[in-house]
Amino acid sequence: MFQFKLVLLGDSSVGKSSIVYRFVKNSFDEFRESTIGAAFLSQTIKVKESDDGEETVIKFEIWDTAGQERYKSLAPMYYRNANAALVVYDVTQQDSLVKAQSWVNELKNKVGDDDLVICLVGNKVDLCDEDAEDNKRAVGTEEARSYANEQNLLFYEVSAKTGLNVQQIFQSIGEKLFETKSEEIAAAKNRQIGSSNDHVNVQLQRASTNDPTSCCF
Amino acid sequence: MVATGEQASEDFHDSENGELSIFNCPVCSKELSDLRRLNYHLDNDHSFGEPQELATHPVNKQVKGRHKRDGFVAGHLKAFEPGISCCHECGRLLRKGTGIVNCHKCGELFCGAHCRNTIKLDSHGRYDPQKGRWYVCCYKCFGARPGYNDYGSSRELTETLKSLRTMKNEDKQLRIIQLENRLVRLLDGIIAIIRQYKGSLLEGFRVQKDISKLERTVTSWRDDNEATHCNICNQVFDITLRRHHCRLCGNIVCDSRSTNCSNQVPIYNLMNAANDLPFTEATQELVSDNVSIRLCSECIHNLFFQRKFKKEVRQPLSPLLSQCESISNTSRVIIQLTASLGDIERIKSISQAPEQFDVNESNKLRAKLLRAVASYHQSTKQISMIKPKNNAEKKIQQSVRMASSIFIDEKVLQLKSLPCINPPQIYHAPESQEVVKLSNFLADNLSIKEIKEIKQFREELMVLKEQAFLVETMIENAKKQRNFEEINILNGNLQELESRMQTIQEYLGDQSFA
Repeated sequence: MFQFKLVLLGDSSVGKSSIVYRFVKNSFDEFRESTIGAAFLSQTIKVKESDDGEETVIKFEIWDTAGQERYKSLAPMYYRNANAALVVYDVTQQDSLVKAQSWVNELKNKVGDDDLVICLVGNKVDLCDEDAEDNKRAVGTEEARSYANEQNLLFYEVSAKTGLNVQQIFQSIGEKLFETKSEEIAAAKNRQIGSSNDHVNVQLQRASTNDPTSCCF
Repeated sequence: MVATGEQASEDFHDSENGELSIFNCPVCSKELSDLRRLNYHLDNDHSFGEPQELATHPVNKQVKGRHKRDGFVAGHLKAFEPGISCCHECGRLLRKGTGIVNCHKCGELFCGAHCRNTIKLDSHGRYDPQKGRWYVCCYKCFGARPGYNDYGSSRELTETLKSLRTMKNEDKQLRIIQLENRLVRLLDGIIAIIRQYKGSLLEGFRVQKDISKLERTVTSWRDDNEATHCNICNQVFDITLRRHHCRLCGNIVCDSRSTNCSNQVPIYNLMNAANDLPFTEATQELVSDNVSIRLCSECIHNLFFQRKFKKEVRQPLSPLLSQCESISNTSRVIIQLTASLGDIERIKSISQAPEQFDVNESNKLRAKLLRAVASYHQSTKQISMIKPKNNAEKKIQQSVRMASSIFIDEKVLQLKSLPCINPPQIYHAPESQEVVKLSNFLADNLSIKEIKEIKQFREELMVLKEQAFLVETMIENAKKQRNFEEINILNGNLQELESRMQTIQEYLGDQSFA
């Protein structure tokens, strides 16, 4: 079993906590109160190992941070050492994408780990009906997707209310993390095997005693 | 109590002889069998002195009527009326089941539960802690008895102190008046003598003689022999330490240089220092004449200490000190304004929807505050510009500068930390000049950047504390659910939070919370 630290970032009231609750408890609360500080939840998923259909359990430690400006200073503590980050924006709020982009920048600048998996998530797609008159969509899918590709991020548009795509985010993150992790393990194994093959030759020859000035006889 | 009156004493005398065992009352001639009874009869029926009980005497028990149970005069006890009487405390109708008890002190009727205390009473129901017997009483009477709830006794001594003080002060004042009169007489006399002999041949010889004669008329000198040591510093007189008389009080004192018990004071100086006294002779002509009189330090203190103090008070303050005064006034204004502004803002933040009136009011206060801070700054600058006249002023200047910079740091931080609902330019606009001044000033003391940083760190510290608390509750919950893996993770986070808090606290030092 692998354990990964995952952190949620994003503007306030974009639905970070709702996504987490949909994922962990498969429930949705229309009137969720805004998060104070950072909440902790954990959930496990199963990932298929590539060849023989065997499954591995992955456990996510999820830190759901508060989006309010006041708690901004807490975020570094949680995205530091994180394996994955969900940067959430609200598809009905253009500003929230800007904020999400600034989070992505901050993550790339402050976190040294190249293996950090960042996933850009547009929430509240249930409010967008392409054909309906009251389409509240403010951020186009393509706009966000191109940004995600540019920055090499995973990208999903989800709805915490209906549960659309929520499971998939974590599944794909889990798979990606598992991939890098198993590569790492394989590399470490190879190194171990390699090092055990290398013999270190220690010469145990006796020092010459012919030299009259030597102290050895 | 001993029976008084001639007859009684006669009777008493007779009984001692053993011939007469019957006593006659000296008042009503009633016959009584023994002295004890006579005393009781006199006390009770003729009310000599305190009524005394005879309860201890076995004979008397028989005499008591039923209503006088145990010698208690039942007059004030309320009678029980079935169906009407209620407990005086709880108001419940009294029946056999509830218990029917009289409080023997106040006489009211109570139920059994509310009349449980006992108190020592005399036979008339008065509190008598020494001779009384125990009777049932209600809680109120129990608590109201003298000495029940006294935690020690207190004595009001303010009046005594006042009278003592006024007495002493009056004495002192009288003494001062006496000394002043003597001084006037002495100096006037000396001047008269000098004038009399002015220009005469005898001047050098007679003046001294006359003056010393005059001195002895002003006050009686103490006898030299009665003093073996100085009356002020207690040093013993010998050949080097001579006796001297104070010319005003006549006391014998030394003239030691180290203790300054007495000094020769030029009369010209004396007259100048006490120019409010009614000297009749003019002073000018004495400038050249170097005549001095000897005064002890006590007299000098009594005469001139208060005078000097009053004189200095009347003089205008030095520029430095007047500036100090204005600074302290401004600081008082600033403190008051910050407090009231803070109150208004707090109310606003609670009520969420600020009234227009409140907003106006707070803007006004803000403007006033900024003006006050600016003028404070102006004054401090002026103070640092004044050239100190002496060491003391230099010290004052330095400490004022330090105190004022600390003060302004604190207040400006407070001002900045006030929550502002309305955008800052609204209240800054009319005071732009002052604001510029203020920011200049801040640059001198504590850069804005630094202030901002401190504020940021404070906020972060607060958030961290909040979060640490949250994590702690999460840990508690996890413990309840036996979720040990989570506990480990959360503990790790808590430690991280705490270490971060510590670094911030170390950085902020004293300024972590104002």
